[in-house]
Amino acid sequence: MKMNRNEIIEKLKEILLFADDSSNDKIDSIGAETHLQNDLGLTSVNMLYLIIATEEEFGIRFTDIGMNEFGTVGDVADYIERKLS
Amino acid sequence: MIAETLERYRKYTGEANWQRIRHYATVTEMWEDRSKEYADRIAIRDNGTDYTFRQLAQDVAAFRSVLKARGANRNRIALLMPNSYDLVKAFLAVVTSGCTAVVLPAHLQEKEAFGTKMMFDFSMLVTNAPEKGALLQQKFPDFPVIDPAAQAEEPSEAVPCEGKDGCAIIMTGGTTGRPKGALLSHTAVMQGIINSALGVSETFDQRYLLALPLSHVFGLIRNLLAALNTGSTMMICRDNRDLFRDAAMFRPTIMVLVPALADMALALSKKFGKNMFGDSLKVIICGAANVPQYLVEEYHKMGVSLYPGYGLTESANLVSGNPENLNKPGSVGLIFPEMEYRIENGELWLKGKNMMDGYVGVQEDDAYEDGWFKTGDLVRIDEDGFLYITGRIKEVIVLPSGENISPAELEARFNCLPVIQDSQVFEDQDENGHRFLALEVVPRAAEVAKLGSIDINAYLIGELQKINAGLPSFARVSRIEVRTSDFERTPSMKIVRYKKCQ
Repeated sequence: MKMNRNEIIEKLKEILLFADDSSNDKIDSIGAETHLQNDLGLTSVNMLYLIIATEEEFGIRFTDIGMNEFGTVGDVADYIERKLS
Repeated sequence: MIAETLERYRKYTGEANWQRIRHYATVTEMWEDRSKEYADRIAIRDNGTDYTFRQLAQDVAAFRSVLKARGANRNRIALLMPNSYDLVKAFLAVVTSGCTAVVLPAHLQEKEAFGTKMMFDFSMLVTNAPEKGALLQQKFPDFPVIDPAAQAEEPSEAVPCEGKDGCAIIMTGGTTGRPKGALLSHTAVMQGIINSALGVSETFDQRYLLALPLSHVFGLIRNLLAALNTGSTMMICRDNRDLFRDAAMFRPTIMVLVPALADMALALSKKFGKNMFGDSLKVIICGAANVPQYLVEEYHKMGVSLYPGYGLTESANLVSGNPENLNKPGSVGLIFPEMEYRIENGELWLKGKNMMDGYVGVQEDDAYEDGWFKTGDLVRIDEDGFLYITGRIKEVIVLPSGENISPAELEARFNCLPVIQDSQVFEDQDENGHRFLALEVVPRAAEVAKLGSIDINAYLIGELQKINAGLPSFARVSRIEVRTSDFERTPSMKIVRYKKCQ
């Protein structure tokens, strides 16, 4: 699967819409710099959801990284980009 | 009152299952009997390896020798390691050696391990992380820290014990939130195991996928020990990130879950248009926190029966389970047979075989009154005998009018809207010091997404106001706010309650 960074972030937004218990508006304004815990208030269960859904959606495995090592949406996108390339 | 629910449970459990239930006096007897009965079956699958009941029994007998050589003799032995075959083996070895297993949460570090020794007075520690025992050994020279992989040449026989003897000490915040241990006798744990076999037809010969820590009664009793007692196979999910890959491979028929995990799995299943736990899954036993009706209904649409239940560490897990989950979706079910209960000023008091022998490591005299354990939970029972949790005593708001409000009871009403994920009712005050009830809600994003481009805030407040208007006038909230982020949560995912009017 070949995707550019913007497409990856769009897909992540789609996933986050289900993961984060907040309103549409906030998800719409998500960017690479949005912090997963500080800005979106994701809990540990939300993070687990994000990881599993991302693996399913992109067909990759988070094999060499802990769930808490991601700060921002951009960090997740970077990781996916590396895995896809 | 004694819960006279035996015949009803018999019906829900099914006669064939009912005939297979045995009332052992101790967990040791249960293990000795069941491990022979199911010898050739797979008991545990962990880390790619299958272990039969026979193999597990041999490994348990060998580990009893290891413990004996280090001084096991009707004393307390702590276990500190993540969910694994080794933890299962060590737990059974401790218990069948006539000792009491102190099952510590795996995340405890060196200092905390030392602290728990001061609280629970255990004589040795079994851990796969010897560095966590370093401080203990520094303060108590020769303190045995044992590797769960340690081998012995000869097996040792199980040490017979009695029902009143200690079986396990499980850590809990209890009804007051201070950490302590609940001392559970063999009788109590065995009753918890028997209760686990009641109320659903999917009881014996199941496939369990373990996703909860074994240091919690829900994981230890309702999952592990229930599986061993019923000839079921239990696969250990070592990392929750692998939960659905493990499920795809193992094809569980039953899962024991807390609501947060069940909710997450539901969101994923909806997003990807398939049951993420696989099509073999028939039953989810859900508890340890308030179970929203929404989960019962949504899982039913996927062909899975989600049964809410109610239990405490102090009651060796189960007090009630809901076999009529579709007819009574807001209930935590029927109280298990022969449990003694009383409702005093709305609070549930309990007595019975499954109750703990008391707390260890802390003096809590007010946990009991006249021999009854006071749960701190506010309940009601309907005309069919079904139990409903309406709140916690400590959370009750006494209004200026003298009227009592249980926030959880009101929240349950608002949470009935599928578009509401969670809510909190609390007392607030205006600048003049007038107190009033307020409501904050967290919308359920997946449902909000379905609404399209309408004014979500206005829509939600409109829907919530309709429910509000149906409440007794003194219980209506005067302010409603839609949050854009989740509530602050405790480590066990419970909402941290606001305290605005102290």
